[in-house]
Amino acid sequence: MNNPLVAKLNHYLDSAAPFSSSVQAAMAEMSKQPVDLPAVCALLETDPVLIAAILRLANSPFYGFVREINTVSDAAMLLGVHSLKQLVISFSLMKRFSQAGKEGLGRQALWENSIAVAVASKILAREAGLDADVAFVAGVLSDIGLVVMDQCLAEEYQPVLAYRDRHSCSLVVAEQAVLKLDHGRVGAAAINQWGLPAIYSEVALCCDHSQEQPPKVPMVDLVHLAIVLIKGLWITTVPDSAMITLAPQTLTRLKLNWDQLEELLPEIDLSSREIIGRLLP
Amino acid sequence: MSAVEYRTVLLVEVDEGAVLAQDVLNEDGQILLCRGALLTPKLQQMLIQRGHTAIDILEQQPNLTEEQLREQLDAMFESQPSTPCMLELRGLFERFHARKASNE
Repeated sequence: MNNPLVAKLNHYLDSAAPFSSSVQAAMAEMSKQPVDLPAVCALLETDPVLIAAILRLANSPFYGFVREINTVSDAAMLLGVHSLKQLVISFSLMKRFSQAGKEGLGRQALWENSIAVAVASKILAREAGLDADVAFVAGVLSDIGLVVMDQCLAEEYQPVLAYRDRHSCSLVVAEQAVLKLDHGRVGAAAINQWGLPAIYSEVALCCDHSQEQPPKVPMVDLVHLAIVLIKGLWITTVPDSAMITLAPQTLTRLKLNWDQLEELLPEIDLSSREIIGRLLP
Repeated sequence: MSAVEYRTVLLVEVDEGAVLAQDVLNEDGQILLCRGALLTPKLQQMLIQRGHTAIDILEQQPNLTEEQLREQLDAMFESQPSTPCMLELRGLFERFHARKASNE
């Protein structure tokens, strides 16, 4: 990103670490083998807002547990450490970037859309045989570049919206024309800066684009399809509501067909609205 | 078209039959009324007596007519090529929204 705005973005990303020291320590602990679960729980319990969000989601019909989950220790036992870690990443980011942007994009709508894409990605991953927990985080992070730009480049972003309206084009096209960068690249840079796995930056970089050639990771196809479906379900009012192109190869590579999608749409619609209601009251 | 289709209203102005968009808790954090409950005049009075002044209720979105649905999809797919894949996708959404409207 050889661009004058990049220095501003880099400076912002340096100062906008999304993970508190206790969450960083908990994530490091969850990466060890064997995992010291009491230590993980003790670290996470220092962040009650994060814990409340995890428990709200874990107790939703989306996860389908019969008994109520009341503690982070319960959540870790029932969800598994892998799932818990993905939820910690997702909610830490939502919490860090939940304040309203200065103007323009609408932070609530951006997060509603990202959560809906995350839910759709998780449901599609189940059908496509991909890691559902990784799919959820990849969905949450799919538009993180927009959130970062909304916060860091609010003034510079206004001409992008004007260009988009004047030319009836997508945000990505308008961003490239006006700023010489786009939210996919910004999102990927942010994810790399925060030390998250490379699969998430690859998804953020590529998921807005139709993929005729196989992407580096199948998760790109999956999140791209989730974005397409969420646009068509009209769940959120996002700044970029025009449909994006879906390549037939995307479905083929995911081994999904139209009948399956038709069956999944009501579940995606209901679950997305339910989870948004729980996480963004 | 927002997912969180609710608005905050003053309790004294709530229409009978409004649907709660939030859980109502007591002082101990226990749920008194669940999200999705119908707000009857009796419950409305109970909440006012407990000191509540405003509450979030679900917004009932008007169903789209077939014509409006098609127009909305036309606008959404305006910039897209008419490939078999995109036509299939459009048909998928058209059937979904039509079914959803007829079920509501």
